[in-house]
Amino acid sequence: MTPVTELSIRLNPHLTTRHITALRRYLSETRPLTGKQWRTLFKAIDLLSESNVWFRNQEYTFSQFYAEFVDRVHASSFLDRLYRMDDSHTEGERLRAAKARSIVQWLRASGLDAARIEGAEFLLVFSLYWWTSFCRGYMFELTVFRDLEASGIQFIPHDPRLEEERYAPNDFYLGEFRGDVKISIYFLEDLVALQPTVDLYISRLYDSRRRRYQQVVFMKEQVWRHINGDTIPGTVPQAPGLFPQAISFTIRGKSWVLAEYDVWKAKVLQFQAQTKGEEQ
Amino acid sequence: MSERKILGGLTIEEFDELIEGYIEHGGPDAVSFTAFGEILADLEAESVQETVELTGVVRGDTIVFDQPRAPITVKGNEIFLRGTKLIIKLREAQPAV
Repeated sequence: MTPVTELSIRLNPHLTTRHITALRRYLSETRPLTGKQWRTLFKAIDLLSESNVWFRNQEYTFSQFYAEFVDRVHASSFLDRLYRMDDSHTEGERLRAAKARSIVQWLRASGLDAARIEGAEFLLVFSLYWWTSFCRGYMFELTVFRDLEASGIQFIPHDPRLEEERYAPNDFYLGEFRGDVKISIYFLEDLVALQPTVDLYISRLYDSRRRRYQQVVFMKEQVWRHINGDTIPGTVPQAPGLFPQAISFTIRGKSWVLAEYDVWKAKVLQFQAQTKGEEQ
Repeated sequence: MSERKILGGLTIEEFDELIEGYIEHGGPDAVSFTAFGEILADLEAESVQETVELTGVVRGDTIVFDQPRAPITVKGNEIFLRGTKLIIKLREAQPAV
C-alpha cells in the first residue's frame, strides 16, 4: 500500500452498499437481527478485517490494528476488573461503554477521525464491533462459570486473564469433554465443520415469542448420552416449544443435541454425584 | 461545498450520534432460535461441495442409472462413491391399510 498521507485507509473493494447498510443497522438496532441480517453483518466485518490502514508509517490490516491498538491496550485491564466485579453483567456493561468511549477518543486524537480521514469511520465501527463482542463474550462466560461453580458442578475453566489460557482451544473441560461458552454465533462455523473441535457449547438464544433470553447447551450426541439424556427429534427454531425435552438434530450427518441449560446442569450434577458415589 | 457524507450517507454529526447511541446500548447481541436455525441451514447448504445429478430408467424390477460425471461411477443399479457402494433396490408398494 503506497501511503497517500501519513494517515490513510484503503477499504476492501468488495465492501458494497449492502454491507454498509448492515453495519448501520447493527449500530442503530437494539432488536434481534434476522439470520440473513446477521450473515450480511458478519460478511461486512470479514471484509473490513482485510481492509488496510496506514498509521505511524506502517501498514496494518484492520485486524492487526485492532490487535495492536485496542486489544493489547484494553483487554487485560478489562478482564482483570471484570473478574473483581460482583455483578459482572451490570458493572461489566458500564466498563465496556467507558472503555469504548476512550477507544473513540484515542482514535480521534491519533488523527483517525472520520471528519478528516476518508474511511476512518469504518475503522471505528470495526474496532467497536470487536470490542463489544469481546466484552460481552467474557461477561457471559464469567456469569456462566460462576453459576456452574455455585451449582457445585465439577469443571475446569480457563482463566482468560492469563494470555496462554485466553487463546486456549476451548474455554473449559467437563470431565473428558471440551466446552466453550459463546454469546456470538461464530461457533456455528465449528458446528458445521467436518471435525468440530469442541464437544459442547453453552450459549444463549432469544425466544422471540416469549421475548426472553434462554440459556442453552449445544452438544455432540455422545456428551448427552454420557449423562443418560433422552431426546426427541426437532430443529433449533422448534426448540423453545419442545423444551424442557432435549432435541436431537443432524448437521452434516453428525448428531447434535440442544438442551435447556438448567436441564443440562441438573443432568450433569446427577451424573457427577452418582459417579462420585460409585468411586467411594 | 456540500458537507461530506460518511457510512452510506450520514453527516459527521449524525455518525457521532449513532456511535454514542451504540456505545450506550451495545448493539443487537440477541440471536433468536429462528435466526440461528436459518444461519445453520444456510451454512450446511453452502458446505455441500458438489451436486451431481443422477438420472436413470426403470427396467423391470430394477433401476438402471445413466453414467454420471466424476466422482461418481455407476454400474446398473449400483452407485460407487469414494469407497462406498450404494445398491438401489425397488420393492413392491404395500397396499394402504
